[in-house]
Amino acid sequence: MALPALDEFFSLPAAQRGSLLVEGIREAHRYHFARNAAYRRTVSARGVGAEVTPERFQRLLRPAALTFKSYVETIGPFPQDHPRAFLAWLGDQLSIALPADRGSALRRRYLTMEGLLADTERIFADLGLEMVTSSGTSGIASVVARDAVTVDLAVRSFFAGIHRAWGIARDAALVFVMPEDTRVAMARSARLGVKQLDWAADTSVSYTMPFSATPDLIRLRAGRTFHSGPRGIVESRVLHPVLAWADKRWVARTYVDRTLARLRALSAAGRPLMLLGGQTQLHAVALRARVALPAGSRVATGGGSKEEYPFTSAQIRADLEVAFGGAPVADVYGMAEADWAAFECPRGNYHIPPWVYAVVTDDAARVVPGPKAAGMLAFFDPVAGGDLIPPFFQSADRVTLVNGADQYDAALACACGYDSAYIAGGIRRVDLMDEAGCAAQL
Amino acid sequence: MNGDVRDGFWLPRNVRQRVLSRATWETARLCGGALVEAGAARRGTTGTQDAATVPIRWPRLSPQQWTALLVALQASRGVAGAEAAGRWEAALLKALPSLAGEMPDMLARLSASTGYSPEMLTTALAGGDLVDPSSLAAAMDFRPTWAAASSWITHPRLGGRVRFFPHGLAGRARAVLTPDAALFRSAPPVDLTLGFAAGNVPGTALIIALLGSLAGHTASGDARAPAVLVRNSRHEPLFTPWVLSAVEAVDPDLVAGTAVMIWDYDDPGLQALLLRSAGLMMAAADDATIAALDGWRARSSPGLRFHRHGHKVSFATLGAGWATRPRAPRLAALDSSFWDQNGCLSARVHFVEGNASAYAEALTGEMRALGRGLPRGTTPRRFTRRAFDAYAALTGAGGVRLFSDYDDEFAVVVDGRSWDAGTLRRAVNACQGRVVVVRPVRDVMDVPRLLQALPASNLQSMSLLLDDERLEPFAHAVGARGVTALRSLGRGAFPQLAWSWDGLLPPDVGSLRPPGHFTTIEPDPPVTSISEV
Repeated sequence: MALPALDEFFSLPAAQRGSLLVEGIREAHRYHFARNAAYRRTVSARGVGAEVTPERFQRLLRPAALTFKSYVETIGPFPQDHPRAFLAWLGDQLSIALPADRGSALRRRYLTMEGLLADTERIFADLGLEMVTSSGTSGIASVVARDAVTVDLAVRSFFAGIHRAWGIARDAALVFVMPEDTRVAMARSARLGVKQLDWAADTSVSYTMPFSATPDLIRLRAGRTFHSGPRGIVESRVLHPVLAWADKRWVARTYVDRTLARLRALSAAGRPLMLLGGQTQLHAVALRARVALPAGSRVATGGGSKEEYPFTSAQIRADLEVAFGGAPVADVYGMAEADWAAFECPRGNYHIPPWVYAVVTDDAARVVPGPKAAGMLAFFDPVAGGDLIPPFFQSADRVTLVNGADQYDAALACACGYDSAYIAGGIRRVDLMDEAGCAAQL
Repeated sequence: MNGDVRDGFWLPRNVRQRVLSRATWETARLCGGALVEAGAARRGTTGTQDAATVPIRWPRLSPQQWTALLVALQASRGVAGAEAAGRWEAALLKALPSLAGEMPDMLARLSASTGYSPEMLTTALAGGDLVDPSSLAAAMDFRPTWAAASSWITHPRLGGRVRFFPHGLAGRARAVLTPDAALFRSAPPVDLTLGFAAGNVPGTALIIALLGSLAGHTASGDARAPAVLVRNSRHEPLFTPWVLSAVEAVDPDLVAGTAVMIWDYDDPGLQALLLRSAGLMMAAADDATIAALDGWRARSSPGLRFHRHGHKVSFATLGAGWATRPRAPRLAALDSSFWDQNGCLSARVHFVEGNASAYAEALTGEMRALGRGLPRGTTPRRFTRRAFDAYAALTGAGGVRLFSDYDDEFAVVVDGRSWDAGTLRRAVNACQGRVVVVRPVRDVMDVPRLLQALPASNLQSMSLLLDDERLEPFAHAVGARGVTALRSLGRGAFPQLAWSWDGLLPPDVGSLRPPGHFTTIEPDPPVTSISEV
């Protein structure tokens, strides 16, 4: 069955959308079940075969973190020390067969994970393989592979989203408070999108983070996972403190300076712009100085605060509005495993693209029915998910989902006018079991 | 559940009216071990809007009222010394009939508020002898010598075995040079014991209140017991006030100097006042809270004695003889089912000699049966399923085999892969919500070597099925690694107060001794009633 193109989903009636996606999920499952060993193992253990009915869709959902961090269980937290094993793990996760003879092109070991991922991309360049990661602040990054098709879909999804939800068009300048060189998924989507859509040809695009956010640097800075032995001693007693010091004393000051300089220049030129960055990074800019952004500009925050921070999201947002002359502030929600992002509308709702079949599950991992339901967000993305990895994932984020999946109530449609499934209210990460008794997590 | 607001605090009659006359009140609703908004969902059944909740309240006192409370408690301090333990023994025994009479009503409330099933609560409260009144006085009288650091010594009145593991070379030298010298010496008199209890497993605040009140046990003559002030857990505030009321009904003087309250950790003035007033602080809480309390202590009262009971992990070990003991898998299943493994006593990884697959198969059957007789609570099943998924993903690599089904409310897996410190940690962390990782071992003496990879300060109990001749060498090896309590298989969730709690014996509350921890081998009381579950 041929599914409509992404843009066509915006105009499809909700009922038709739902039934198309249900068929798309069954078809995608059939495809991946036949080709993807890791997926087949997981869903087979749950009693699912090649055919699946919608009542059992929840059994296709794999916890995102579990899937893309599973290399830790088989090869440990440092794949760069075991490149061949990493390649075997990667092949196990994909629904395409990686050419068997390429493994010999990898070195016996790499000094960094970045080196390994870059070389993996190089030897599979003909497949257009892109290796992206989660932010990795826990010390262990999710490693997600994308191919040329999924990269294209992710990019189009991201830029269609900001245009649709926020009205950001090609004439807007883009200021990313992000490093240009990074594997973190959303930042990389932004960079690839700018490149692929040739955005810079029409307008100004800048990245104000003054360093490369490689997985290794993020790990060392987070300071939660170190090698063992002498190397670990150097990492924990030298590199981590130095990076933490540099982050506090140099990085923060530099990106704030650069961002303010860029904003002032664009404001002077009267160019509308989109300023996108992490909440805490944008807050640092806002606390330093005020810059009234030109009309038509927008401030966009991405990613929750993953470290202790003395301000609430509401306080940060209020500060941003004041600092940037009342420019609208909105948030974007995404994850490394998803080829889509949900953009916050003026009503405070996060809109999920209409080609994504989103559900919420309860604490027993069952789908919660109804057009408005609370639970853990999960999604099936049979359209933009691509053919590389089964795009059916369970997140660790607790949300209230409205008009998700094939459950639709016109009375609940968002008043902003964008008629898609949406997350109402906040998003809360509940990755760990709530503390109940006195059992330790080590 | 009816809408009666229950007290989440407890004050003795003689101070209650005085302190509460002008108090303001804070109220909350409890459901499934969590505080919820009115009408909000029960944890574990997201989306349900009509789950039973239990309304609770506690007073918010002004600084003046706190001072008045402390003064009132000081004025009501009861008897100390050996008499105190005897009075507690008698009072608890006398209170049992009234507690039993109120049990059905209290069980319903405890189940709704903690999220644990009534069956589990009934079995735990009826089968457990955590506070075995008859052993309390004997436990408090125990005065080991340094000989306990060189060999296991038998408790003269209770029959179990005790060993002291000194921390540091000086202690080890003393054990050799002065084996007959006393380990304990009397601690300075304590005017106030300050306690902190956390979590939704019932009874923690009660244990702290009881032990804290015995901190004057080494006092002589007409010395008085310390006043006791315990911060109750918001997640399970009902059990302790219930029992203390019953005790007060039979011996009001015994608890006249005891209060169980709820207050905020982040009230610097109050915390400083309380810590400065205390001579002993006891906390059963997570490591972050204990670190915060350590910070308060350093600022307010650096000399304050502090007994820390942080979050812990426990295990089960079965020697090859398990195969000839048909009830062994059932007893082991109990150790990993109570409190849905939310308790520090719950066995996580089971180390098994012999045919681990046969053991896992039998364990799976027993856990399935226990799931019917002892249903799990509201601990989210998604974590159990996450563990199932994690191990299902590993089945392709060899060494890992799942024995439970995805639809089971528990997970049992045999993991025979090569383990490093990281693998063991992740296995331990996966084992919550009725998840058991069975680890085949060639010899049980491999277990202490494996445990070396975990922080000693996080180790707690070992449930054990082992021939007697192998018991002491094994206990010594795991004790040296940091395990502080060994008890028979099936008794994991039922420790007795008389024995080591995180390395401390009951007499520690009123004594000083060199740094180190006690490991105890608890005697083997009957488990018949539990095993029949």
